[in-house]
Amino acid sequence: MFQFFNLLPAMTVAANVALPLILQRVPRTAIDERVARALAAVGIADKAAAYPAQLSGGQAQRAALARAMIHRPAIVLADEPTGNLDSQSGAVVLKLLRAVADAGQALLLATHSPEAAQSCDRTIRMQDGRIVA
Amino acid sequence: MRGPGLALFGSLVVGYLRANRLRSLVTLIAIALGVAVYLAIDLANATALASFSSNVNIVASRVNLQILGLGRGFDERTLVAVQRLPDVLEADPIIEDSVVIGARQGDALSGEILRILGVDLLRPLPEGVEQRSELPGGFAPQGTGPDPYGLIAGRGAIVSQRVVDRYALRVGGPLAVLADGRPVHLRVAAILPRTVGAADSSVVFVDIVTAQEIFGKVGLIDRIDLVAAPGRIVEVRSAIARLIPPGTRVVEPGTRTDEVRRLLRSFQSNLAAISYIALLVGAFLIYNTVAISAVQRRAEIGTLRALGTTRRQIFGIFLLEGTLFGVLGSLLGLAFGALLARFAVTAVARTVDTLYVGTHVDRIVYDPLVMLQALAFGTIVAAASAAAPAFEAAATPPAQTMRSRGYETRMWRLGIGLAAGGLALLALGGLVAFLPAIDGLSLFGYAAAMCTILGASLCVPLAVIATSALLQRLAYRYSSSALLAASNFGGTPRRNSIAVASLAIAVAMIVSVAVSVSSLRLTVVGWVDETFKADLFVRPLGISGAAYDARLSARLPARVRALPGVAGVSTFRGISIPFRGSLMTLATTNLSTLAEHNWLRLESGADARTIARTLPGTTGVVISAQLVARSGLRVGDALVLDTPAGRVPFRVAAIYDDYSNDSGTALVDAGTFARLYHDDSVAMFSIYAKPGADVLALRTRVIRSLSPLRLDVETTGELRFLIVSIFNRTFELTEALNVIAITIAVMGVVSTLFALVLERRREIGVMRYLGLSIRAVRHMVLYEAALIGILGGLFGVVCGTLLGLLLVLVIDRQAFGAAVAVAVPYGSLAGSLLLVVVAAVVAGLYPAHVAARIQTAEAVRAE
Repeated sequence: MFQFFNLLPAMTVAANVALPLILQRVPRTAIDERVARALAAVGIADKAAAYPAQLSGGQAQRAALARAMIHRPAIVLADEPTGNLDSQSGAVVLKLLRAVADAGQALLLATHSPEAAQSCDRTIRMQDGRIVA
Repeated sequence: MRGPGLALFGSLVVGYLRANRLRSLVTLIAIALGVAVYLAIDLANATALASFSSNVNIVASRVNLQILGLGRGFDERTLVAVQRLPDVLEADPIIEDSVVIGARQGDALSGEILRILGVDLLRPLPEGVEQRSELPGGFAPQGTGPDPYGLIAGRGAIVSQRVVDRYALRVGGPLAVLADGRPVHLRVAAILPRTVGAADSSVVFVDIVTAQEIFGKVGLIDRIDLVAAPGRIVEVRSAIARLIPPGTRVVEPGTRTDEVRRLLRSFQSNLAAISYIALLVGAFLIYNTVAISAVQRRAEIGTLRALGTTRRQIFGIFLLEGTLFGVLGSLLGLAFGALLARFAVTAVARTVDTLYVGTHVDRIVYDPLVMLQALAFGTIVAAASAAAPAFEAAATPPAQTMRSRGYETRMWRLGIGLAAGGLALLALGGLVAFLPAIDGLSLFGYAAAMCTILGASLCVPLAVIATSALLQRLAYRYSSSALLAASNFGGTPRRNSIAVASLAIAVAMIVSVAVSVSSLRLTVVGWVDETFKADLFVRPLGISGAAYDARLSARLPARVRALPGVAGVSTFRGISIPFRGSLMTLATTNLSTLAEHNWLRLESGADARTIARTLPGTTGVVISAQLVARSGLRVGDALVLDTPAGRVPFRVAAIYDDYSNDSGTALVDAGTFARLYHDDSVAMFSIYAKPGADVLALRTRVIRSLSPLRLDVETTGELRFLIVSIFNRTFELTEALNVIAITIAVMGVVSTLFALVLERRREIGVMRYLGLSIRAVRHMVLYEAALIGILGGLFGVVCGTLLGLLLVLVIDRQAFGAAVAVAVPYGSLAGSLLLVVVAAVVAGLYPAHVAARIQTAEAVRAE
C-alpha cells in the first residue's frame, strides 16, 4: 500500500482490485467473487464500477487495501497508508488494517503518525535510517 | 507575447522540449515530411508547367504577338503580308518540330525528343537595327563567330551542353537524329551555354530552311513572332486576323502555356490534394504533441494558474509551442522538399509528357514564392493544430487541472457526440459528392473527400473507447498484458484516437490510391484488349506517349498493305489543337476498317458498322468520353473547329472510351482530315495478319519494307506490355507520397506511445509491484501499439475504400470524363492492413523497451 494509493486511473476500482489475481491467472468467476468480497470487506462495494478519479482519498486507500489483500500475500507492506488522508478517513483505514492483522495477516506499516503506530502490535522506531528503539 | 509570457514560455516549454528531445525531434521530422511533400508537389507542378512554358515561349523579349499554325503549318507568304502591315516592327518566321535522338530498336523508351526550332538566321535586319544580337530566347550561342553562315553550313545545329555531354557530341561533329523515322544528319555548329534561362536543354536551333527541308515543310512555317508598335497591338492584331489563312490564329505570347495550364489543372489538383493529406497527417501529430505536452504539464499549469497566470498566457504558451514546431519543421521541410522535388519533378514531367503534352525538365524551378508559401502553410497548419489543445489547457480550471487525468472519463459522452458529428459529416460528403463539377474541377468531389476524412476521424474516439471496453472483457481470461493494454488504450482515448486517426488517414491514402489504380488498371487492360486487336504495330522508334507527333508518309501503310500475309492496315494520327481555352486531340484513322475490325469501345451513338459505312469522307466524328466531360457535347451535336479549310462543324456520331490521353479526343476519318488539313501523313499504323500467317516472319518483312526508315514494329503483346508499364510508371509518385504519409503516421505512433509510457511510469511501477513481469510490460506496450495499428488500419481501409470509390466514380470521372469500372483490390487491402499493424508494432518497440527499463522503486517513489 502506498501513501498516494497508486490506483491505475484507466481501470475501474473492481479491475484495480482484481489485477493481482489476473496476474496470477485466477479464473474469471473466482476473481469476480473475490473482488466483490474484498470490496465489501473494506466498505466500498458500491464503488466497483467507479474510476479512481471519482473516489475520495479514504475510498481510494480502501480500494488500495483491497487490492493489497486480495491475493492473500504472506506479508502486506503499507507505506504511510494514512499520510494523505484526513483524520476521519485515516481512522477508518487504520481500523481496517487492524482487522486485517487480527485475522492473522502479517502487516508491516511505515508511518510518521503516532496514532497509526499505536494501533500496531509491535513498534520499531527509526531515525535517519537507524533503529533507535 | 510580452516579457513575463516569454519567461513563462522559456520555463514551461523550452525545458520540457529539451527533456523530451526524442519526441520533439520525431514531431519536427514528421511536420517537415508533411511540408516536404506539399512543397515537392508544388515545385513539381510549377516546374512541369514552367518547362513547357519555356519550351513553347522561346521568343525574343520584345515579341508581343504570335501567329500560330495548325498541323503541317501555313503558307510562308503570310510572313510577307504581315511584314507589310503598318505598325509591325518585326516579324520572324519559325518552324517548330521534333526529332528523336538515342533511340534503339526494341526499346520503346530509349529515345529522347529534341525540339527543333527553325529560325531565319539570314533574314535582313529591320531598318535601324544594326546587329542581330539574339536568337529567340534572348541569348547568343557559344562557339561561333559573327558570321551566321558558319551556323548554317552543313545543316548546322545549335545544341545544349547537356545534349552534347549525354550523346558525346562535339562542335563541328555530326548529330544523328530521326525525323519522322528518317535518319537525318545535322552538324553541331555551336553549343548553348548551360546558364541560358529561356530554353530548356532539349531545344535545338537550326536555320529555318534546314528545318523546312528536314520536316518536308518547304514553303510552310509553323509560327511567326511579331513585334507590334507599343500602343498599337490591338489594331495590329485585328489587321492580322483579317489576312491570315484559316486554321491559324494570332495570340499573345503565353497563350499556349495558359492552355496547357488549364489542361493540367485536374491532374495537378489531384496531386495537390494528396500532398495536403500528407500535411494533414503531420497536423494531427502536432495536435497530439501539444495535447500530450499540455496533459503532462497539467500539474504545472494548475500551479501557474493558481499563482495568477492568465488563461490567455497559458493559451499563448502552447500556441507558441505548436507554432515553434511549425516554423522549425517547415524550415526543415523546405530542405527535405527540395530533395524530394527532384524525384517528384521527374515523375510529374514524365506523366505530363506521356499523357498530355511534350515537356522536358532540366532543372527545378525553386520559386521563392512557392517556398515561402510552403513555410507559411506549414506554420499556419501547425499553429492551427495547436490551437485546440492550447485552448483546452488554458480553459481547464486549476482545481480540475491538478486532479490529473480525471477528466479522460468524460470521453464516453464526448466520443458519442463526436461520432454523431462524424456520421453527419459522412452523410454530408455522400450528398455533395453527387453535385456537378464547377468549371471542369471536381470541387464537390474534393469536399466530399474532406468530409469523409474528417467524418471518419471524428468516429475514431468512440471506436477507441468501445474497442477498449470490449477487449477488456475478452482479454480478461487470456492475458494480463493484453488486458492492461486494452485498459490503457481506452484510458487515454484522446491521444490514442489522434494516433489512430492519423494512421487511418495515411492508410486511407494508400487504400484509395490502390482502389483507384486497380480500377483504372482493370479498365485500361480491358480497353487495351479491345482497342489493340491488330497483330503488329508500327510507330516511331524509341518514343511513346503524347509528346511526339511523327508524320510518316501515307505511302508506307499502302506499301505494307501489299506485303504477303497482310490482311489489312489501319492508320492513326493525333494532333493537339486549341479548344475552349485549353487543348484537345484531333485524331484521324481509317474509320472504314471498323466494319471488319472493331477496335473502338463505343459508349453511345452509332455502332461500328454504321460508323464504318457512313462517316468516311464526311465531317462526322466519334468523340471520347473525356471530351464529352469537358465540352458537354452529345451525339448529334456539332463540334466546331477552325481548320486550314475554314471553320467546320463536325457532327458527333458516337461517343467512345479512350484512355490514351486525358485531353479528350475527336476521331475523324483520315480522308476528311487530309482534305481539311492538307496533311495525309500518319503517326503510326497497325497491321492485321491473314489467318494462319506467321506474325514474327511478317514483322521481319515489314521492317525490311520500311527501310531505310527506322521504326518500331511491335507485336500486340509487346505493345500491351509497354502500355501497362507506362501506366504503372504514372503512379510511382503517388506511391512514394503514400510511403511518406505512412511514415509520418508511424512517427505519430512512436511519439504517442513514447509519451504514454513516460506518463505511465508510476503505473508501470505499481504493476511491477503487483507482479507484472518485465516481459509482460513489454508485451503490454506492444499490444497497445498493435491496437493502434489494427484500429487505424481498419478505419483506414474503410475510409480509403470510400475515398477510392469517390476518386473513381466522382473526382476522376468529373475531371477526366473516362468511365472506370470499380475493382477493389482485396489482396492489397489486406496487405495494407497487415503492413500498418506490423509498422505500428515496430513503432512500439522502442517505447516498449523504455517501459521495460523503468526502475520500479524509482517510479513509485515520487511521494
